[in-house]
Amino acid sequence: MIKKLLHLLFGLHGITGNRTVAGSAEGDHIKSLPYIQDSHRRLAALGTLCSRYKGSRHAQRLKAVLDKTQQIHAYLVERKRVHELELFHVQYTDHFLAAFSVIADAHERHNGKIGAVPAAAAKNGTWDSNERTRYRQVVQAAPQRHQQVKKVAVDLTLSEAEVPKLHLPQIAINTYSKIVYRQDAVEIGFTSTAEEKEAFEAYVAAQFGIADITYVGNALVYMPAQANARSAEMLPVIHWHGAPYVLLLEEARLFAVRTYRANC
Amino acid sequence: MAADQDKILSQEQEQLLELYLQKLNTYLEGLQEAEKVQVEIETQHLKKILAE
Repeated sequence: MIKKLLHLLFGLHGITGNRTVAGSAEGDHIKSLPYIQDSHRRLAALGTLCSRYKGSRHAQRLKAVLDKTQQIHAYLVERKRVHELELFHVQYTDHFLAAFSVIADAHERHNGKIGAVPAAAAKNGTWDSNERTRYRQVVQAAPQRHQQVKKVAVDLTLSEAEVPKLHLPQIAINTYSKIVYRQDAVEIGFTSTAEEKEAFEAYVAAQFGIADITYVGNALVYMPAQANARSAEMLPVIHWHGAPYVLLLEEARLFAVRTYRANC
Repeated sequence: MAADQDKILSQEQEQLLELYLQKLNTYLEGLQEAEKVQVEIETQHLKKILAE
């Protein structure tokens, strides 16, 4: 009996051992590149953040955050654990960047440096300014594509006060949750395997009638105009044609959102 | 006023920054600790196999 149990335990141990081997297989090398690039982009964003706090009494502590993050980056990249690195950034760095950028923004506005904010951001080529450039490109391309819309848009400027302002809600990817998306209890989450994610992408592609999508993760959001709108829901997030969307699977609807990742 | 010039964060935000730094330290230590544990597990595992 005891021997059997030991075999069972060692058997299981063997499986976990295999998994690490599979994880460092050749195919993963190519897949890991975007993660490393993303990590570098975040480090650059942290560097920019540091420069915004330069001269303040917090400068040294922010530098410490950058240094520590760099250490973690180096440690995980050296060991080819890039997925863990991405997970770390999603759980820590992104939230930190978001919070301390907003704080710096507010501080600069209060000190009457309103004009200086976009100038500084554009010069440093931060994540935010990348995002802005991307949106600007979209805006510039729009009139060419929809000539007939142009006239209407001009008329609307006359009553500018009544034009509603659209904005993309910022969501945070939840890395722990799993969502059941089919009746036969198939789950999807940030930590799902590549095969599971592919299966989900194929399912969504068929349901929504769209192609070239990538599963990003799940996010906790309030959906508009629903019977149970009072409670927040965990919903899947996909990346499609250069922008992230939250999916409402039952109604096959997409909601444009933004995440902190620039190329997301 | 001049003393406040270099202060961007409120006291609470400052504490948050400290907390975040601690968290990063714990994370890195956790990584290094996990590596030690794994080395230990693998060593014990090999010992067991060789003893059989």
